[in-house]
Amino acid sequence: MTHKRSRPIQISPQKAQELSKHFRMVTQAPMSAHLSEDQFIGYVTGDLNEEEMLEVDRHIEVCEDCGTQIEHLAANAMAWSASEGKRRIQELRKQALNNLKKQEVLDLSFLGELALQIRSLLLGTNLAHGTVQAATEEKKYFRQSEQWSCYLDIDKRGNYILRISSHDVNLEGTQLRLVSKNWQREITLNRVDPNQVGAKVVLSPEDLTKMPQGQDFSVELIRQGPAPE
Amino acid sequence: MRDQPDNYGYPRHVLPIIEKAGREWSREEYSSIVAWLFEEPQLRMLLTLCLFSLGSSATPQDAEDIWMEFCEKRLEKVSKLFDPERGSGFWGYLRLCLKREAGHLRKPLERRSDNELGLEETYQTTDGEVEFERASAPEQAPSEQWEFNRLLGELLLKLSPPYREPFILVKLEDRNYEEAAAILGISPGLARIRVHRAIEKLRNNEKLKLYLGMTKETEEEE
Repeated sequence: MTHKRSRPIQISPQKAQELSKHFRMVTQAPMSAHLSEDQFIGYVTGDLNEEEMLEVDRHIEVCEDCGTQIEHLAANAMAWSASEGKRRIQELRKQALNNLKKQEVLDLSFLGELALQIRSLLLGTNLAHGTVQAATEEKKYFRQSEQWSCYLDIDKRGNYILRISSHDVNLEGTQLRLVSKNWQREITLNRVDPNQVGAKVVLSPEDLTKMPQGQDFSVELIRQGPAPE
Repeated sequence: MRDQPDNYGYPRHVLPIIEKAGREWSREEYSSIVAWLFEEPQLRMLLTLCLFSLGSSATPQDAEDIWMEFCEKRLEKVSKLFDPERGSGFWGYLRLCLKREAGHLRKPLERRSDNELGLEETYQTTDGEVEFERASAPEQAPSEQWEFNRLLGELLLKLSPPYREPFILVKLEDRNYEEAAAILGISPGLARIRVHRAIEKLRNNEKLKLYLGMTKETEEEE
């Protein structure tokens, strides 16, 4: 504690009387059960109402155990208050959000990976100019996946052609649902050559209007493997 | 028996996610919950809960470490296990899981030494100076009151500064907790706690008890 008293302690008669009364009251007050976890935390974070705060005040005037515990809690929780505390909290938040981004990349399932690639293609700047020719295989600015290759082209009628393929031939016959905001399409992965399965999706300009840019795009599994005979 | 829903004040963008049945949160929904948990009010509360659950030997760094580790390894699982259909609120469920996690790491409680000197020891400042001077009692003051003044002054002199200073600022100088906290360089919450702990320490003094007529003997006689 840095504060140093510069003048002597003055106790006015009125204060003395008030304190004497208060000490008598405290001494006579019955001891309630110990403070609850909510009381400890709420008091320290300032989330209790005044009545609840007073209840805790009264309790710590008679209970040394709770007083010691709550003081320790408050003294340590000071680390997260004032400007230094806010900075500390900002750092933790930044760290958590970075971890989340890293985790998102690592944790993508194979369907999530496909959705990410399609979304990347649909968000491609070429698309806006209507002269799209973008592929996850050929252009390096789309993330290359071990599982999937996606290709987006435009035909003579002005429709976009999305081609999806995978070297995992076990996926033959797998049915997927591509889902955007107001649009969805079911596709089946068929064998396109001895080493690849794939599907072609025709997207009309109307389809694209139902998929606003930046909208979440997901791929759902309807059925894995070929349909039962 | 169903759990009771909590009454936490969730913001609008969080409610539809945590009330969603079927435990299926999209990646975006999960990220949005994490971002909300890392907003200052929620984070302060969760860190304080970690600190509380870790016990009296824990430091703020311990609390931050356990929370970050929980987020990295357990939070996603917790979000998948959380089921609003069971009737419990997300905040309450999260707190329960976090508390359990921190509880595993709780070391045996060690009585923290706060460098406080007992009331029976005389406190002197580091330069050896005794700060207290007895206040001059007005002539008309009754002798009983003068006696109380003298006793209180004596006890305050023996009380260690972390308790004495907030007590004087608030109880004798009529400052509020915020002012006292600013003078002392501590949080208002801690200032408030120390004022009431000072009362607890003073009232446990035998001389004061005797003066107030609250010794066991007196109680028995009554």
